[in-house]
Amino acid sequence: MLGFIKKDLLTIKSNYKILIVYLIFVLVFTFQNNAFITFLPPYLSAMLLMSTFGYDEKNHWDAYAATFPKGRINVVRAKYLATILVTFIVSLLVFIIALGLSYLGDDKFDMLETIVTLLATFGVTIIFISCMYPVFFKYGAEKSRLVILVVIVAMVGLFYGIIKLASLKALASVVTFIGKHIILFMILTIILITYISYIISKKVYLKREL
Amino acid sequence: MRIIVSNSSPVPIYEQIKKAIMDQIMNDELKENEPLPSIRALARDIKISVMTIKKAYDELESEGYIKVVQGKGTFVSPKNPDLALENAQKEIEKHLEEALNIASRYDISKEDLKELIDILGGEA
Amino acid sequence: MDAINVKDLVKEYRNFTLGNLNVTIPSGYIVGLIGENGAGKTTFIKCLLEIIKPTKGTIKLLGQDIKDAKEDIGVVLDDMFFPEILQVKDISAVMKGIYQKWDEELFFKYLKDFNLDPNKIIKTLSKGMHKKLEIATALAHHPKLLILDEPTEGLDPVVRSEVLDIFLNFIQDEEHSVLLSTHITSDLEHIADCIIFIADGKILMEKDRDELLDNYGILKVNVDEIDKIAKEDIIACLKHRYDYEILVSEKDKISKKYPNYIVDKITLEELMVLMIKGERQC
Repeated sequence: MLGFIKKDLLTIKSNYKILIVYLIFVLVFTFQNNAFITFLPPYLSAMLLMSTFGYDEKNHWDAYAATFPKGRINVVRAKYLATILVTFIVSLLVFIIALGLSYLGDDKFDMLETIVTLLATFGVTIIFISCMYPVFFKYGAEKSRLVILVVIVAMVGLFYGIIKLASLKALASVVTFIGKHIILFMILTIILITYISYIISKKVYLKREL
Repeated sequence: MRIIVSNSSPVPIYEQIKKAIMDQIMNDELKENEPLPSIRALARDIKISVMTIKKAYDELESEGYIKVVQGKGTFVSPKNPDLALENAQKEIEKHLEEALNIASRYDISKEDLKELIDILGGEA
Repeated sequence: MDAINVKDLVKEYRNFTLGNLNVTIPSGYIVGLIGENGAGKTTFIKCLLEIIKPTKGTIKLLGQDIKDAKEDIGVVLDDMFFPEILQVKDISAVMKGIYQKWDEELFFKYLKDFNLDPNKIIKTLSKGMHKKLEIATALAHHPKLLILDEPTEGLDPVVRSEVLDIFLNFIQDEEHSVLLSTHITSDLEHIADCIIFIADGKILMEKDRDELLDNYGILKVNVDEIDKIAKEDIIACLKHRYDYEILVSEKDKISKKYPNYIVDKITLEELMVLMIKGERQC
């Protein structure tokens, strides 16, 4: 499976033009508004990984890879692992940079808030990926383009709904309970959603005609 | 060992190979107990399918020209003069048959044919 | 041991059905798969490699289930390869993590033999270079079975002959086997041990090379003399302006039986055309 992960990373590396745009993006937004530094890098990293589906499809890598030992299952595993790993490492880097910046500057550094924000960004990114990947694995990158928009709209709606629900009195105690264990709650949600997504992807991809 | 295969010849390729080896055994270019190349190596070297070479070797073996020693390879058998004679006769028969065919097609009598043989033989 | 063993293979599509196919290929030989475009060659190969799922039937490769045999199989597939934005040398880095027996040294040796620059981006390679790279990749993990879909397509005659040499070298080991599909039949005329001829999803013919090319022939007859040929001698025939081309088997017997007509040696290409386009009777 390491080979497959390596292939995705090399694909991103080879696509250096996008990487440069990525860096410029991050830098510009970071200087303009500090809040973006926590949001943008993890999200864009996941996007880069997602872009590898397109390159795979163009040269029918999937069909080729299906002929390798454990080819199909490892294609799925590697995509999830590579995405999660890269997004996680970038989030960690952002955290370290934020920590460093707060030492240099006079800003009060709120450890909990930074972690929660990062986890939220990481979480939203991974949930987005988790919604997208099963679709990619079922229909391929080309046909899934429209679905990306649908998923974004659905997710915005979902979060809006959650916030609405949270403000209801009946749910107040639940919200308070979650608030106390916010980090644990977030981590569990991310793991659960990723796992369900992975199981679905695996199932559809093992059956797919390539 | 010399083997040249012609693609345009009507003679099947395995027969060409067989004949090339047979001829060299008969005129002592290939001597008794001399090793022959393995089937696969020969296939590679003359770019002919393995099965074709195998067919040639199989026939050479069953006709007693070569012998396969398990695990060691293929070798030239001791020369058998009777066998050589028999084969020579067979070949002559084949050619004469052809000559007869042509003769009958053009109504050339057997006497004329015999005469032709005498003339050719006399001049040779 | 059989290199490939296919029983009752069927793959159904809405407008095309492959099968029912039964194929047994013993180890140690080169087997050629020929047929028109769209006859089902690629579909058959995709079934062998689990790229698509057969509707029914069983497939064994190297005596095992497909998934267990994959470590020992090398493939060249038409139009399926690494993402083209990668560099040539990236392939080795990736494959090291996929095949246990990936031989980096061997891979770079092939690149050198083929004059392929490891630093080139795959996209920039010419068609022939690309094919060579695919072949090098297929060979570098020491496979026992090569399954190749159109491996010589787009190659010039010199390179094609080099590639065929590689295959002949490959089967120096008696456990090694090659299945290759092609429509350049002249490639197979000499090196293939066995020919499988597929037409419209079915096997039209499966024969040893010698049996095919030494046995079949083309009988050429003037248009007005066609009734002199017995019906049972005609396998297929094509009518031209001045003559008939008739596919016959046991060509030695036929040429004795009809001494006044020409019986030519046949090439695979002529055989293919006669079998596909020819009429069953004149």
